[in-house]
Amino acid sequence: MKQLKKNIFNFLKSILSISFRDIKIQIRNISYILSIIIFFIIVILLFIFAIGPDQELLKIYIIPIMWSILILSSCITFNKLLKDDYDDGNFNLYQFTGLSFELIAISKIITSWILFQLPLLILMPLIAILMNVDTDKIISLIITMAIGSPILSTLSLISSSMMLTNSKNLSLGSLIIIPMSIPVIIFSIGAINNDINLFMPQVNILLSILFATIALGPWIISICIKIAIKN
Amino acid sequence: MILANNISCKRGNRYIFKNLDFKIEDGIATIISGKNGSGKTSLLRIVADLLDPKNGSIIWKGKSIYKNIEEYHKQITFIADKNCSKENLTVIENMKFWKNLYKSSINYENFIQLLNNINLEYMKNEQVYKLSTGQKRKLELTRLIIEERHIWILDEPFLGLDQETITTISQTISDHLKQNGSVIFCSHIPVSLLNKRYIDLDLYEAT
Repeated sequence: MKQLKKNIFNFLKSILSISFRDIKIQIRNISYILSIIIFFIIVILLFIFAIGPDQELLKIYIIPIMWSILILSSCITFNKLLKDDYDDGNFNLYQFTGLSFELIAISKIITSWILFQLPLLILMPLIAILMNVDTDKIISLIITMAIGSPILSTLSLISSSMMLTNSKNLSLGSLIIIPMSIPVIIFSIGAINNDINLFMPQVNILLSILFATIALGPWIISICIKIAIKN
Repeated sequence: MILANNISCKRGNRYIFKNLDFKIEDGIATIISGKNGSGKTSLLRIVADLLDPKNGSIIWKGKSIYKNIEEYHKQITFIADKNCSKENLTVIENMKFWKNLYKSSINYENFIQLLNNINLEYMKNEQVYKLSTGQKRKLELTRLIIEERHIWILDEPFLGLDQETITTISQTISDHLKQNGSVIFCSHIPVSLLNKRYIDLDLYEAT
């Protein structure tokens, strides 16, 4: 029993050390995260200028716009965490630790969500408040984002893992993320804008997408990494 | 002991080497030599299970490595030609990460001792991007001690190092061999080791 506890502790230590290291590196390279936040704000401003000063129109469109930009932001960040580790040979290191790549993928998904989705998750309700969006809708927005953003993180890492050996055509990654994100945006915006009776069914569908993505994502990522290592 | 049985390596449409047999014995350094493009790195990657051979198999403890791949992986330290230290982390932070990842028993005092041996102690709190090429290589080679593994697979370990560090690393390899460890490496730089055996890949070049 003691040995089992020790093994679990060592195993968690190894996995957490990867996550903490990734977070530390990205925080030291904060300009990258800041550039995503600035990109997010600038594109929203762009839409605001395009729609004009009509407050009612802005109230209707600001949430779908923010959701779309969230997906576009995933396309910018998709190539960061896995590609860096692949390029400098860190995946070789992981292979010899005895840790499974599925668990490393889960650690990367969590890290990616914390680094690239959480700042936007905090920012979106604030922008919605500034735009005078109804409180009910802001709460719905937070709930759908809490469910939808891990899906986006997983999809972006799946796309990134497929792109590991491809350093020439990076736009191909976005072509994988965007179509796969369509159901997320349909049910998220549906849950926010539709009748209150339709809120829970759509959230349930979002949850099912989340569980399916979390269940399958790490395995897909792990297989892609293994193929890339032996390339 | 590791046995390579009738190994062939094919990259793209070209065979790099064919029908190679050799053994890596405990206590004897196996040095791979050959001209550029003769497949030294590919051979090391095959031994480390980072590349699949076109034919043949690697035998460890009397069985194919694939029969006990996880246990085999846990015996290996692989130093590639690229450095895997993270540029934004300090020297010590990189070493601590390797220690945690490999569940090593090495402590902070050992880190300092290790850095002292390779004249890197004064840079311990500097981020890796501030280090020179040779210093980055030195840091990479500290993994040999930190990971505490039995089989060392090294791809050009002495590249960019000064003579003093080459002597220190050669001594480290000798010490590992004395403790019955296995070492296989390729290098264009001559190294003074007592127990060594050469594999000349030029002899196995596919025509």
